[in-house]
Amino acid sequence: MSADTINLSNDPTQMNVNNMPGDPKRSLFQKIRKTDKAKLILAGIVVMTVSVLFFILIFITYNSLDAVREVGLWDFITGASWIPGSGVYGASSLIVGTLLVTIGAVLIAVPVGIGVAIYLSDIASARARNIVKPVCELFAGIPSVVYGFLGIVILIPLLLDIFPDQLSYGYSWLAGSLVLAMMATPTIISVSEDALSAVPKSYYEASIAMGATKWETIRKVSLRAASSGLGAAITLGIGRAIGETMVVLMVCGNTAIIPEPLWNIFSTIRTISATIAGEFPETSWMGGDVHFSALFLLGLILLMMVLAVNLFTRHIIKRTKRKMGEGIKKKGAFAKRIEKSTEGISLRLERYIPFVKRTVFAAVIFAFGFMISDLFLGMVGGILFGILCVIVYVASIYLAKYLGPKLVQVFVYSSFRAIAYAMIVILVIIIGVLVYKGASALNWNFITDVPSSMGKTGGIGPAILGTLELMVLTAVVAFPIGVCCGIYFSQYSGKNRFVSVARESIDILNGMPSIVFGLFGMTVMVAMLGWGMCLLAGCITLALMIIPTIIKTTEESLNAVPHELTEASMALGASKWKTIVRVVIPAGMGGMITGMILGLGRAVGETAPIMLTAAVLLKRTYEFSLFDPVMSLPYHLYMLVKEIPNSTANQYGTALVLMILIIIMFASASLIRHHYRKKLGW
Amino acid sequence: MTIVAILAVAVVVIAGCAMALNNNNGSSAEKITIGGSTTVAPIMLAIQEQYENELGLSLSITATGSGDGASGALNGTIDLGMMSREPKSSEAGLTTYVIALDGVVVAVDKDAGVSNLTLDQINKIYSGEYTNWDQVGGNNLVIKPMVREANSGTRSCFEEFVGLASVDMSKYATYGSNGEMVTAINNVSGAIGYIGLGYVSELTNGMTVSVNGIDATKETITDGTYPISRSLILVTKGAATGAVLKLIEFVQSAKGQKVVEECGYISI
Repeated sequence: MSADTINLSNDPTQMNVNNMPGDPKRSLFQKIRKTDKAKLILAGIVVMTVSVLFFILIFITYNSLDAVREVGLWDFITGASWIPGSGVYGASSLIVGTLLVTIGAVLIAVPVGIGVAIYLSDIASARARNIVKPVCELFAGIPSVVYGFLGIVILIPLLLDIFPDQLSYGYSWLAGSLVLAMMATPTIISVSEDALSAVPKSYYEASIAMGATKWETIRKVSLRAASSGLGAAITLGIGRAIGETMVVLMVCGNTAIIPEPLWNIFSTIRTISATIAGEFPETSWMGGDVHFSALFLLGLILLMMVLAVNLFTRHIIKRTKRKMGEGIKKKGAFAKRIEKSTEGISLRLERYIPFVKRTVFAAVIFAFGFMISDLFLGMVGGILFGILCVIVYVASIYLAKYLGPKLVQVFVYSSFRAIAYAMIVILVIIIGVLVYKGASALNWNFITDVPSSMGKTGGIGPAILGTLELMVLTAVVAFPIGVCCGIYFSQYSGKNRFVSVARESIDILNGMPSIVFGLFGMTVMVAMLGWGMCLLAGCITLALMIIPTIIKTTEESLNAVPHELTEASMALGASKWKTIVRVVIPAGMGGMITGMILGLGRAVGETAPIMLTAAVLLKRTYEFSLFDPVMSLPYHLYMLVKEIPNSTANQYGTALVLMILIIIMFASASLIRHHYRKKLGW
Repeated sequence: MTIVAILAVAVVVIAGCAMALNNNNGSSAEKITIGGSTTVAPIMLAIQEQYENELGLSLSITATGSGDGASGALNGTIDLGMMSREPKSSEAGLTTYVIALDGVVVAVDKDAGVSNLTLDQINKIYSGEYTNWDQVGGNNLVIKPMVREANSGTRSCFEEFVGLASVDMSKYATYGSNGEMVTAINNVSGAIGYIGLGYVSELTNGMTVSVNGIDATKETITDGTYPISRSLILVTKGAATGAVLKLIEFVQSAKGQKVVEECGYISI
């Protein structure tokens, strides 16, 4: 029973309004007067948030019109070269670059992520799970600029050592995809593990009872039953990779070319987001600059790509749900007749399905084998290696049959375990290197002093203070709005068009790449309103980014409050609003605070929006003003890496301080969650 | 309620911290936001470090490229722009103030085995005609040319003097700043790139080469024999006034020019 219906039975005015929606005698004004005031205010805030989204969309589209007019949409998308200085705007290499880097990352992150998730949900002991899961969440919380930094100082030199003949610069598609994969994997693990754990135990037991091995059960039952959750995990991972700015800006070499051949993972590459971040400050917003408009058009294209991924997965999830027997639609007579007439054919065809599947799989394996080895061995070697791969594949199928399901299971399980251990080892190495190299820079003066010699020596005091200022003010802007919307969605919303539009909009807002927020924030607040780069512009931009997260967590934690509590309060005669304030919110507080801290953790690590709206390289005073630019830790790290050679000690120091800040936030989030869970006892 | 209270306390604490820390600096400082060329940035950063308090200014400096200096000053997002090239015709409305001279230095990986290149050789390397260092008298090592991003003043100066303005260089790795270029030259074997004089001291695994047999020194750049040189300038929208003018005049003064020399550039 939803909270809304309880309310109806207690509050006579509310009942009237809802029971007679179509009453012609009632004017809109009267209707509004009779509605709960709190509901009206909250709905107003929701409308505000949603209209901000529409404003952003309209704003970006409007600003990209100039480029469409000047260059033409088709020429813009298909044009081969991107030379803004000479007025040549062909974004094909940037679009392909974005896709390739994402595909590369997904090819690594999805198998690893789902493998580790299977390990966690079905193989690992409870103790191992309790260690690995929070570690994963922490992994996911590491700011992208830290990943980019580690990519430059650790990964690129390593890659140059391993592939001296193939890599020309080290900065490459390969480096970008590897780092992005590392960023996306924890998210995929976390969400897939939830999905796998949610599969009903009875499915599993039924399958085991039929004599299937554990691995067969996982492969044929659990994975399928959890497919919608796994789909969501993969989308989240893709979304994170496709919209990411800092990593690709730092490690991909930023060359606006399409790799030659297309699968040359050693080529330098440039993405849409890196182009926007790198070129936007140099454009002029005062009308007539095609470059300015072209970057907006790029932003729009990036947004469309993210939306396409979301829609596609939603479609897949719906389809698998239907297949699994949920939400079956009744078939029309026509469909039934067609099905009957084709039944014989499909039965005959069905025999070939396994064969077709295997052929397709073998072709894919050949293609991959060829692509990878072609880069090392040339055309002939590539073809031979591809054939070898297919032979190994076929042989392994027969080998699996020969060995029997039990041995296959042993083999598969140990490889999953190995992957999971490898992940932990990599994390330990990352943290270890950061701590080992950063600790020598870390002392009291480093934390409180202002930077000197361009940041090579001295401290990072203003950057720490700036980050804290950004954090607190972002919270001040984002929390009230996010919490109000969350309360509305959880307590007041029914199932009507307004609510579903609002929900969709907030989902879109949630998936928007951070660089798009930066684009918007810089143009509107920094340039048009004339604030200049400043704290306030940065906070509002970050707040827009994290509001959807806060809405979601607030809604979820309020929904989790048992209905008995609400009903008891209502039965004692409390009004709906009083019940929410006195009963529901206190009970959901733990979840709400946790969500807020996690949202803030994300905001603290973000660099792309800040570098366009608020952050500067160096500021040596500690003044506090909303309309002054600030230094911030992630941007400082980025600038040290980029601008100031031989500042390695301070780079590690800054990265370590940033990491410590993030760890503190994550730790306090989980402590608070724990505390409230214990206090409430359900 | 708890959250509101926590937030309120945090705001007060942070504001308090800021004020307490700021007492050292005298709070009546005038604020100037500076942005633009990464070549000019070291000069302004050194001025900030040494003379900010003396001048009674509070400077916020960022550095992303000459193009950003011009458009930022025009847009009003910054008060003072730094540029390492003259404004283009599309950037009309800027008043320029020359503060230093600079040579664009060609730097290569030490393992390349060359110490001098002619302008023609550099042109052919970047045009893709020469692909191995042994073609220009060096070791057998593949040449890896590197370029700066499109809005770089260093890049436009380099391309103008080497005659590369119309050559498509989109296939080379692109770096967003002098610093990034130096780091890349230090890391990548066979690299060639170009940087402002102020960054020469940062080369560890790379070295500068003379161009047409001439080293980039104070003398050769001042008398114009070093072939790739330019002026470093500060720009404002319209004429500079007030604190900004005071700062520009200081950079052009004897004290300011001493900082310019310390940074490795040439005083005017």
